[in-house]
Amino acid sequence: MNHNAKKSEVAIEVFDLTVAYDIKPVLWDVDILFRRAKSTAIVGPNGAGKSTLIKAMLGMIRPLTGAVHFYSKSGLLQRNQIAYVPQSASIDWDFPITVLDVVLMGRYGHLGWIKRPGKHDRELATDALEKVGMQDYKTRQISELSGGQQQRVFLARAFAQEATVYLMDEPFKGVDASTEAAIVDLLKEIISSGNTIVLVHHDLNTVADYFDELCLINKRIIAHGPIEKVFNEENINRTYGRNSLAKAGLA
Amino acid sequence: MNTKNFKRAKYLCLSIIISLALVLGACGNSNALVKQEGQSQTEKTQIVATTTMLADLSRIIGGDLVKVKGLMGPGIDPHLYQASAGDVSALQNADVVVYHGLDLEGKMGAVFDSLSEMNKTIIRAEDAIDRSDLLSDEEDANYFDPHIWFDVSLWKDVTEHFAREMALYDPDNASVYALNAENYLRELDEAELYIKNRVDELPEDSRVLITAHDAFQYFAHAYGFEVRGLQGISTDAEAGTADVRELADFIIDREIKAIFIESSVPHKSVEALQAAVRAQGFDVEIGGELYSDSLGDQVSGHETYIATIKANIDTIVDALK
Ligand SMILES: Nc1ncnc2c1ncn2[C@@H]1O[C@H](COP(=O)(O)OP(=O)(O)OP(=O)(O)O)[C@@H](O)[C@H]1O
Ligand SMILES: [Mg+2]
Ligand SMILES: [Zn+2]
Repeated sequence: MNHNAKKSEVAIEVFDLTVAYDIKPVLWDVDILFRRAKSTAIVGPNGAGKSTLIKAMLGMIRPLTGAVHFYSKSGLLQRNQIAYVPQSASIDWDFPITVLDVVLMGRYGHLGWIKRPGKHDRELATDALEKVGMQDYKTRQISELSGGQQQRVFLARAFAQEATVYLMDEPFKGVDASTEAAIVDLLKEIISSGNTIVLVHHDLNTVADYFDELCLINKRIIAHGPIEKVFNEENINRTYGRNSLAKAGLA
Repeated sequence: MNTKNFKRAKYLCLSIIISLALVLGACGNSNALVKQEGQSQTEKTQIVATTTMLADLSRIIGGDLVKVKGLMGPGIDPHLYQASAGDVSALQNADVVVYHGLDLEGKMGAVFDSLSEMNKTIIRAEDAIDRSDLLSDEEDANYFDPHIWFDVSLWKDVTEHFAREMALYDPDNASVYALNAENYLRELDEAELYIKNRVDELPEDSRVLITAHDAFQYFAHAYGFEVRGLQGISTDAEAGTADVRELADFIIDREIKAIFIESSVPHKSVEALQAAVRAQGFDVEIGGELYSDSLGDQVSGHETYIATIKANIDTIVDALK
């Protein structure tokens, strides 16, 4: 482990994870602990395996080796306590469903079978839409929205889920500056109520403002730990190649 | 290929049509209107599905909102199945009829025609598949091979199509159908991976599948097998002795370890093939029984689509290894 954490502070434990789509692994030997009530940015170049890591953690891809455990405070976490926002390019929503109904999908984990979403669920869903600035689109078909708007609706769905762990794959891609600010506030709220966020991020300019921890990845974990310890030129260069920080205008 | 855009455009149109229908209060579907009047929240949508595969899918995506009656039982051959009078009345009384199409239910065409004249809500697996993904019959290019369920990625298309159509039929519960589809698509992803991992256990030149009828072309196409069937795509013609001899030579030539019988097709033609191979002093095993045109039964534990396709790949790989 690259930094120490007490067992009770761990929300997600990934060990010995190797993933291949065909023969050649795209993710090698990942061992990482994500701490409870922290937000962690996963950062690395295109094709580094960031989305693959998130999907493998969720069990959407079967790894060659390794295991992932999600912990609640008292034991293992239930599946419906994990919220996932996929990378926008992977969403193909031509389903005949309204925006509000998409957000309500996040509530079913709380309802159990047979039950229908009630007033409380609708309020929570509407609330979540307001938070991402999409309340005016409630009754619109999801297919009629732009990619960035769809992404915001999926964020609202994750928020309405009131999950314990949030896995988000580039949720800021395609959203405007004011929405981004609103989402960042929401993320901070989630963390301050004791929940955990792992978020794939690509903007090195904002990483230190938005997150508690940083995980740099390029097929392997390059570095992982608190932002102030990990976010430096040497680590960025090791992740992206030589002088990349200078190129990004941050040096 | 621009199939995604094509689909998107198509469903965009459908969803606009449906919302117009609801706004105008015009011929919307009766079920949704009943619910809007608040009469009976618990009344389930009655679905009648032809094949075991489609009955399974209907149960999974419809969940508690639907009651599903499957017409064909496990082991029944859909190419030859004839609707009974009871089936016809079940179909006529259903809220939603689900059938495969592509002429799989070869003897039910007249029944489907009469249903579409009744303006019944019909969901067809055929409509889920892009034409360019269909394989055609070797003998007749106008006739498509209906056995699409053997390619899991095509069954995912059917799943999405089915859930969409249910959401159009019953928009109040669109979120349930969408969520069930999303979860099931994830399970299908896993099943697909399972198949690919098992196929990887076989050396490439052992990936040859010989069965009674030509049901496995989509399987072959998706997972890299060579397939040979004794009969054509449909089971309604018997295999001739010339076919048996030719296939026996092929088996000996390629030193193929096992051939397979099918759950919904009589075994005698495959047994004749085995005898023909043995007559030439070469041995070939009957590698086991594959589920072809129906799922397994409850006794086998393979009564779901996913259990069935996993059982098939286990049978195939274990016998050819
Ligand atoms: N379904 C797939 N089949 C085969 N290869 C894949 C698949 N998905 C991803 N890959 C490959 O795996 C590697 C990692 O992909 P991944 O999507 O995890 O990268 P990423 O870090 O999320 O990139 P990006 O920043 O572009 O989103 C890439 O080389 C990609 O081409
Ligand atoms: Mg990615
Ligand atoms: Zn058949």
